[in-house]
Amino acid sequence: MEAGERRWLERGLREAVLAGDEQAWKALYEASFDRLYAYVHYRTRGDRQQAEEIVQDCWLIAVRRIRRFDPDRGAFIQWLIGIADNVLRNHGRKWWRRRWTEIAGIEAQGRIPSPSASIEQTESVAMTLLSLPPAYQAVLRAKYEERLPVVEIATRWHTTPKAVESMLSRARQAFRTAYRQATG
Amino acid sequence: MAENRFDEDEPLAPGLPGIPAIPTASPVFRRAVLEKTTETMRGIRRRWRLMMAAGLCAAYAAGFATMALWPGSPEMESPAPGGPAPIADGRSVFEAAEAEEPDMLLSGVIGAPREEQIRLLKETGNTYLSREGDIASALYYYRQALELIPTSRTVTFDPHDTWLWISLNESRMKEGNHEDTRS
Repeated sequence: MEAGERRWLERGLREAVLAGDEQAWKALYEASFDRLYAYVHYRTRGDRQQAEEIVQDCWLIAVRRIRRFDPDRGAFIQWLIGIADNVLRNHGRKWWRRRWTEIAGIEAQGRIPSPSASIEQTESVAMTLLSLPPAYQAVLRAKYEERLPVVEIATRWHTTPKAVESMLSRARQAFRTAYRQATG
Repeated sequence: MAENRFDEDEPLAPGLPGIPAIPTASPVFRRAVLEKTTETMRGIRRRWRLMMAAGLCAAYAAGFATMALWPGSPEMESPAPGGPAPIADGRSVFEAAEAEEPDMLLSGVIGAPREEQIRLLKETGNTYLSREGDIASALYYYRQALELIPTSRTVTFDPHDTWLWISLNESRMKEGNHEDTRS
């Protein structure tokens, strides 16, 4: 999605949410839920319980402060991630300090846990993938996560191998462009 | 021209043969958060509407109070033909209210017969409304008066009744009708 298109779409949804439109809120929510969840999941090192707690807090803050979201300053997901960082920091003060002190005797001092290099790469790949259109996500996950051959993907999707190849080529290209941008 | 051939086993990106399992939330959690946020959104909307209504009431009350306190107000100096009608002793409701202190009126409430209590509380409300534009106090005494009037009684209005008294009675009647319809 082009930046301009993203801006007017998110601005429209924001205005509709402010007017009380629940469908508009659902559209914003569904479009960003997976990416926010994956981001928080990696930041909490895969602690499901803590990730869920933080994700819920983020969404509740987002719905209360939606008026402050400005699509001209960035995408909705970036705004959500900014909220998530603050929530992680606050949780970190309570939770990480206790946990790290208990487990390794480390004083966390309210820092967001910094992921190691491999975790960072995993996170970048996941976040890049989740930023792609759903059809690209699906074909890439089938090929590179489930490791299915093209013929099997075609059978499963009731289409031709040629169509899957074409989709896969475009999805790979989109992923590489987005990944380069994300990792600098 | 080199043919652009499709290589099925091409890595996704340099040094990236596959992708990790993407963490996904359980559908139950996803739905629960959506419901919770939607409910929060409804609450915010309700509060916003209430604030708007309160703001409008405050603006109306402020205008009313300003009008009543304005020294050269034509309404105060020369009442229109349809203006405050004389009450029992020939005075207008404003004059009557001006004449008596709320404390004086209230001192007679205790021990008085019910009808007299209603009259005194209503007069007190009138006094607060007309003299000071104090809607909150007027509302308080009007409500006390209304509590003494049985809901079964049909309320008739006098021409000198204030807008607030009429409005409270009307909403009380509507509420009564609504209750009857429901039961």
